[in-house]
Amino acid sequence: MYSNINSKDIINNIDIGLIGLNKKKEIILWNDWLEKYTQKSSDQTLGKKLDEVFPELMQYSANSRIISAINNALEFDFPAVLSHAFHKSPFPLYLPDSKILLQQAVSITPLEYDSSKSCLIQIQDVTPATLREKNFEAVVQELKKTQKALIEEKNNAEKANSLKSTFLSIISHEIRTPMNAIIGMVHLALQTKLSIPQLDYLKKINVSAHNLLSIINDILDVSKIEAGKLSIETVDFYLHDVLKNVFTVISGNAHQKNIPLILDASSDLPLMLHGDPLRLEQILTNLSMNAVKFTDQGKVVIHIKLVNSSKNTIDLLFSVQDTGVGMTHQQQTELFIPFTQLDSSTARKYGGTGLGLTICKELVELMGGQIHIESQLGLGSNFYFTLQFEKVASEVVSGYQLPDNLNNIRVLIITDNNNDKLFYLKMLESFNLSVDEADGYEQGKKLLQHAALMNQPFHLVLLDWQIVKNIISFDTAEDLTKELRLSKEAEIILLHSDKDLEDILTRVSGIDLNHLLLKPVSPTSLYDHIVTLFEKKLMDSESEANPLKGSRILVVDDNDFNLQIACEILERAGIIAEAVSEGIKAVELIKNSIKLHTPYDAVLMDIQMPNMSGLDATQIIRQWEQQYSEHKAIPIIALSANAMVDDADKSLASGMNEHLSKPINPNKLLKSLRQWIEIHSKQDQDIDLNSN
Amino acid sequence: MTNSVNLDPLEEDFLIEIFNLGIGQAAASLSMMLQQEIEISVPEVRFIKFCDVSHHINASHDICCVTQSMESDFEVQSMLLFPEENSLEIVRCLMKESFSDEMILELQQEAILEIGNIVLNACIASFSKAIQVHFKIAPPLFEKLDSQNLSHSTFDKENVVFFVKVNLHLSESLIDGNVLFILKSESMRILQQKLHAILLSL
Repeated sequence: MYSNINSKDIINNIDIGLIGLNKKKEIILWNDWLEKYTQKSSDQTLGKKLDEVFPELMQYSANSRIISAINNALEFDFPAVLSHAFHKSPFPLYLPDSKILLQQAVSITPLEYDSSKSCLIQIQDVTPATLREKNFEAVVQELKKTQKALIEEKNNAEKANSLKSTFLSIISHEIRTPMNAIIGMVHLALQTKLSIPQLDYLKKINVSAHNLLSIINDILDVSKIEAGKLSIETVDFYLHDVLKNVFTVISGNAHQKNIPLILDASSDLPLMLHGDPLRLEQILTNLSMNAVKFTDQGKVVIHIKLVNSSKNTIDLLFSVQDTGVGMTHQQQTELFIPFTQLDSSTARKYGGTGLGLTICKELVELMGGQIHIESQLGLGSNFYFTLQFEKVASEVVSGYQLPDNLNNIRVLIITDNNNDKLFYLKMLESFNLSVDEADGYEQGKKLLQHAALMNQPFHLVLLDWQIVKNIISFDTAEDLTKELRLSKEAEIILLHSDKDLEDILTRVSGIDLNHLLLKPVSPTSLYDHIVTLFEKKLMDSESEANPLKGSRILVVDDNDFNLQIACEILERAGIIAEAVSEGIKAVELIKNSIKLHTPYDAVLMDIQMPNMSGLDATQIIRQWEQQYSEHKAIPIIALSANAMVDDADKSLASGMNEHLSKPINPNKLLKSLRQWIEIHSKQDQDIDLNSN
Repeated sequence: MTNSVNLDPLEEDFLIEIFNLGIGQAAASLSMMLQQEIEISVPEVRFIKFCDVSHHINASHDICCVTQSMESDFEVQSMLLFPEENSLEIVRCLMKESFSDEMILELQQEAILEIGNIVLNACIASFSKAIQVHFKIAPPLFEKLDSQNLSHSTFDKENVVFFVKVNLHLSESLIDGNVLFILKSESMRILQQKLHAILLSL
């Protein structure tokens, strides 16, 4: 079909340049394409040598490649390709009417022509492709620039976020200091003589201050979560101490809303666990607080169930169930995002920062569990999680040792709640006490009478208010003692729920608070009650003085308010408190007191102080004591706003005996002082004996 | 050197020398063209069967390949192989401007084609001069092959391959590649005859 087409037509219409060269490099083929880009016709070029037509070709060493390629084709029949990547414009070809060089891709093919060697040079215009490449590269570079900017932006955002976390952590710390002063002062003020309105105002200030403190603690925790610095400690603890604290915090709110807060703990739970009690308490408090907040009628129940027990570990399922407003599926998915409330009106109606659940989720995960939620709009929610704890060796479980003189106490438990009874039994037995139990009031009375007859009277009765409140009528605590035919030496502890407290206080006038124990009962609260009730008795009988009375304690704090609070708490306990506001001065005072053989009985030391921190001061004192003091190391207790585990570790590492965090819990402080002073004076006596 | 092909030591040495010369010439040509110092060393020459080529190529993914077939009274397929990532590194090193990875990928085919052309021409020249055979040489072709499926090509598993490892020293990089001369068994026989004759005449 194409046989009639003249090959010359093809050669001149093809869109590539064709140059034919014979052995002598004379041009034997020159197509129209070349004429277009050189303005030289075939008449002007045919028969001429290539370097005559393109003298520039021979001038530059960069052209050596094309020259040697042509030579190799003509001499050795080697084909060659010249990429425009390396050679932009091997031939001086220009776009028509311009000085713009044509970008070229060249190939050289050896041929045989008239029985002699020749070659064909093909030149392709790659200018458009090159332009496309150039544009492409520009786009890519632009993209890279944008990408780089985005990465930089991301880094900046991360940096800003980390700065934000740092700022939050600093500001929270700064807020805690005055908050501690407020809480401490309110505590002191509450113990003074007040009018009814004043008492009301102060109680409300107290509640608000504690609420504010917990918000600040939440912010501090979130900033720690974001910085990846939240850590979990592992210590032995009583599970019910945690639950007791949760109930103490929540019961006020629950009581106000008239929502019963119920503990449903199975009876097979161990007394002690090994894990992080503070964080567990934080999770349960947060979840329960939410449950109460979003429940207007019905109840809130904390269930705890043993789901698995191996040789060394125990898995407990915790759940906090309410009959509140509930959530839609969509709301459930957004639940754990920080700062998110179900909707903005939620924040207005129910309050809160929206941080609690984020923290709970993070804490549960840090402890190796996962938090789940079941909820139905209008019916209520159930938050649950399983955590694994290490078991505590049985010899450690009986951690609470009653004083020797209290070992012979006989205890009777009267309650119809089987679960509670089993738990009380377990607790009391861990204190090494002999315990009997009664299912109801009548049976209890019989047991008491029998014991009296046999001359083996009970010394302590744990009586569930639920059982007696509708059966007997009494006006005073003595009436109850009489009713139960107890001896005067015997003590009763009424176990009651939060909502019964008012009822008891109105019905039993003059009842001592030491005789009331709020449920849920924890080992610590029960222990404290027993010791307080019976030690008071022992002390009264032996008219023994308060062991702390007359002790001299040095309080070191750079904040005047904190100094005042600590000193007043100490003075109320009959302690002689001395205040100093600088670490350096504290070191001098302590050294002098030791030199004069009138050492302080203990030191309460703030951590963060200008010039010399509490840690440094303690280290100096400990070193000095080692070299110069004949006395045993003076008890130094850290009293600091830093409440983290590693803060406590640092305090202990510096040589302190204990780390207590602010705001000051007066009972805890006095208990700790009593413990350390007792140990210290005993050790010091030993030293005296040895030296004598 | 463990060879699976029966060449006597003299023949082997002769061929190794031929490839060394060819590669040396290729390096000189490239240096001149790119006006930068380019060294190519030949750490190893092997004679293997085609089916073993994959094992000897240090590539996990794609292989960039430039081939030029040579024909006279026997046929040889010459090949320059680079693992894909090495070929991109070569282009990056040889470009006078610094380009994005995307642009390097765009230029890869053309640039490697020309480099292959120069290296293979130099090897062929040296080979053809040494055995005194004039080859008709086809223009170079660029291909991307899967390293695992090299054997899918038209060659017989038993075909003999002169397997030459080459190291390109570019700027601060050392880049591995391979030059292959593949002969069908009939061609191998003819080549051996020629080698024999040449070595006898020396």
